[in-house]
Amino acid sequence: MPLIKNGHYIDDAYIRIEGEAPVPDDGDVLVDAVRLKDDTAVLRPRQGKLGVLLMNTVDAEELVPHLSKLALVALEFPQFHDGRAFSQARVLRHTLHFKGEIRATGKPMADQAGHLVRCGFDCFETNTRQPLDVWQRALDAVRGVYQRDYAGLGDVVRKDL
Amino acid sequence: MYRYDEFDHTFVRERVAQFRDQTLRRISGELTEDEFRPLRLMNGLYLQLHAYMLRIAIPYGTLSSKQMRQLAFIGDKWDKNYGHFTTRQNLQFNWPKLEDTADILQALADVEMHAIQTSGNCIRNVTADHWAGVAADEIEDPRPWAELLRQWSSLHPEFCFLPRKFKIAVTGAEADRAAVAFHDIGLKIVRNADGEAGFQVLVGGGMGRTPMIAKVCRAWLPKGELLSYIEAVMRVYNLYGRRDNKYKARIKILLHEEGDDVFRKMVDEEYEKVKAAGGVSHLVPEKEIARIETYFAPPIYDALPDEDAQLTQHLRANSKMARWYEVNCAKHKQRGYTIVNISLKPEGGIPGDATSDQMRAVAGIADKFSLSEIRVSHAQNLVLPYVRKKDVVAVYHALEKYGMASANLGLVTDIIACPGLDYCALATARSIPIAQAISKRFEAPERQKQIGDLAIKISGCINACGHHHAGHIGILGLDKAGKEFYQITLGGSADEHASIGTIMGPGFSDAEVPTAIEKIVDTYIGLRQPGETFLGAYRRLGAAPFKEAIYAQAAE
Repeated sequence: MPLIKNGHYIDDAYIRIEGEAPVPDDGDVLVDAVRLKDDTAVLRPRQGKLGVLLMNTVDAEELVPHLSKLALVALEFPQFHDGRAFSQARVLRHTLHFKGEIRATGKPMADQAGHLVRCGFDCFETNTRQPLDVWQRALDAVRGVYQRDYAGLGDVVRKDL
Repeated sequence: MYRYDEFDHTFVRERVAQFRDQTLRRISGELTEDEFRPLRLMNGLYLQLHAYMLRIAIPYGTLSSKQMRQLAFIGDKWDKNYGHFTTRQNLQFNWPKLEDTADILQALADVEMHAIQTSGNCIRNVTADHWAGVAADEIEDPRPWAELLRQWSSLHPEFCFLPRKFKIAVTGAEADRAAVAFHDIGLKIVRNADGEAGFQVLVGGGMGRTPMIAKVCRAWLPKGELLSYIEAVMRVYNLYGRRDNKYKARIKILLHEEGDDVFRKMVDEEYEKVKAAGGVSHLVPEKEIARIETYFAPPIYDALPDEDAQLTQHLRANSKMARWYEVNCAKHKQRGYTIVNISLKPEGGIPGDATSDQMRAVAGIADKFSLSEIRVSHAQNLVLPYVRKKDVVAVYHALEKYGMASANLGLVTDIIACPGLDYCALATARSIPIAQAISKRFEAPERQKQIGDLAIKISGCINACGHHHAGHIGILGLDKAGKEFYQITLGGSADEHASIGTIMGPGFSDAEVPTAIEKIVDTYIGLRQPGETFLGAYRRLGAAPFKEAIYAQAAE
């Protein structure tokens, strides 16, 4: 699936490691979050970045012990209207101060672009029917944000203009 | 009233443009109906039985005369010259065309209105006491906080794709006229032991197929913490609310399944994290709430005697008007003023419907006699909040001219009814004709007065948009093998002593309903003690005498 970041298509640098499959010695890898628990193959020092895919039924706080090792957290939208990942992203960014990349995977929709960005996502998986320009248009559609703290502007609601 | 500034204007205009784009993409086929549905719903656009329906937000039920005129204009230009006021203090147009909706939204934006989040699995239009700011029993005006919630919830980045819809109601008075206990979050302004006003936060109320009374989640919350606390509640719900079954997806089910204490602990823990992460910025900036409060400052009232001698004289001379004044006008917090309630329940009429002409008439009356302000109540009536007693006679005659002087506020014919099977795709039975038949049956004014306070509420399906669970008499329309039948519940109440009605027994056919209601009412009249309301009598007597009255014949 194509990836969009900063208004451009990007190549996915991460190799998806499905299930219990072995983790190569180098290269950026994306593993299931559950493998962080006690999987030494994942946790050993190695060349390349580590990313995890977190199910939307798991607390983002479970990543806390490993957060500093993670360059990417991918959150899932099994359907675009299943909005749990919005809260997971918000917790990662706001409560846990995660500074790495947060990727929306599964079936996020371009029309959700504003919501995604404000909750802390910076990379989106998209489908061929919603090309780059649709995402960009959605991002610019409503520029005002009442929830200033979600826009990184500090307060819980907007102040005077 | 709140007035948009440049930020609000731009926000709504851009939202309209975004929706126009989404609509065009749907028409071109770029968006599938599955994709478009949640997008259109988040802008109040439903697909009903015969046509689209557009639900327009009237935030906390407050309207200016200018806005009311625009609604009339929209009704004339893009609908069938009428609109329907709902139990959510909103207005629905039943016949718009998909391709016109963006233009309608633009016309709304021109008068600082929108349809944002009047539907969909998001935080819906916030409702409030329709007498806010003028009620004699008010602790504080809840409208600034309702407006703040409106802004805060608009396109909330995190909470627009919730497990299910989410409704918030606010009241600042002792008597609960906003049914806060039947909302996902109900907010009541209360004073703590030190006399400071704050919010009592109730969570997990609702109607639908599993009616529940909300539980107190926080007995007293400092006002400035409102948004952050609600953020914590919403996050717990968004993360842990059920998504496997839409009938079990409301927050009331989460609260029920977790248990009150566990749920409260989840919220408290989340709230501590929100506070820790946000620092002082988790508080509503005093400057911002002060800015909003200035819009709701009380008007400059005339210094008037509390009783108007001329009015008293007129009332003596005109018993019809006197009855209307007694029934429809309520105590104002300001001397010499009254709250005029306009019934949209003419005997035998369709509850909540108003023609464009009626809307314009109300706008004109409000301009002349109520500081250009109008309210919509959740009981589907209108309110003129600032009427001088000396203007009451003129107001009455103006209303009478447009068929809006029914003297039945809170009486047996002031029936709440959802649109039902006449319009709604979800309905299992008709509601409107049942309301009309009952209203006809009890139309005699003397009889209505004799019966006194009685709230009949009718829903055309289990989703309970007609609030039947909270009706003193509730009627639920169902379908059994292609035939409509109606279940009767008694003893529900939406006020500060909220209760859920009890089902009496087997249902009735549409033709049998008015007689069954009549038997219930007659039973009450026969058994009541002096001064006892229907609800009071039911609570004292229990269901037995009423059951006997409506089922006796069937048993013979």
